[in-house]
Amino acid sequence: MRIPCPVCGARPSEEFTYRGDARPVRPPMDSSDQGAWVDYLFFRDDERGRIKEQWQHTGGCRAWIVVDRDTATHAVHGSELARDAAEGGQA
Amino acid sequence: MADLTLAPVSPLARALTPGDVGAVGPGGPGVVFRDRRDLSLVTIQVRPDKQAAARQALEGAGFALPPVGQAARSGEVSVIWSALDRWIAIAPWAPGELHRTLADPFGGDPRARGVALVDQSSGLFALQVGGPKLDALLAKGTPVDLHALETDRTAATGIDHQPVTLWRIAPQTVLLLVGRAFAQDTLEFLQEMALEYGYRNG
Ligand SMILES: [Zn+2]
Repeated sequence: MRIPCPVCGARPSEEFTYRGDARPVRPPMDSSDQGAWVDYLFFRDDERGRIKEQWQHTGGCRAWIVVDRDTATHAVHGSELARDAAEGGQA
Repeated sequence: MADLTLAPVSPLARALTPGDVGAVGPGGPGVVFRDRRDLSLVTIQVRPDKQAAARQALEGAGFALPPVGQAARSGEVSVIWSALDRWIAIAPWAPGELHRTLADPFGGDPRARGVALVDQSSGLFALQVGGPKLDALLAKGTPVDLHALETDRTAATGIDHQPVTLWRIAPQTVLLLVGRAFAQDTLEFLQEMALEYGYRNG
């Protein structure tokens, strides 16, 4: 599988470290809603299909990126720097 | 307390003993490895919103922050791109001198300008690899497109699962930067891969 790094270009997935589903959003730091924290920390949907994932180019430029990937076909539809995704709203 | 004197030792002291090894033909070795402990290495990490100002300050002193994948030379000092928001300055200077020279354009206080200068001369190791079989050798360990890695191009990649920075300093020579603790391992991997070409430790 090849992953397009927004900085380095397409590289094989061995250069990257998988960091998980990019969609969960951290509750506000002052939140005491235990259910929301448990959900954020531990529960993932493990969906079949196209999702946003965080990967880090650990064997390259070290950037955290958000990859648009299909978990059923492994087709990669694009990527962007995680900081850009965060600035654009919710990754 | 016992007297203890620690002399600086190359991490390659055991693996880079001078001599020719492997299938060295009449044309000489296909690959030559060289310890470049003579080089000072300083990382330059700059906050994204401070890069325009940092670039301007460094340019005033004759240095550049080159674009992704490139190296810029200015006299004895080269600045190469190495990672997101990070560059490495390299010069054959005495310890400390390069760091001072780079801190000067920031009024001696780079941190106040969103710039982190860290002397990595002891943390990173510079291994020079050259010879007519250079590209064939690198292709065994790294997935980067070596045709696109022209002279004064750099790549952040991995060799034998170790993160490395490659800078092609001449058509048949690269400078390979790797964490010091992994230098021997990386060299031994390359040496084994170079047996079929014959290599020289020099
Ligand atoms: Zn990258």
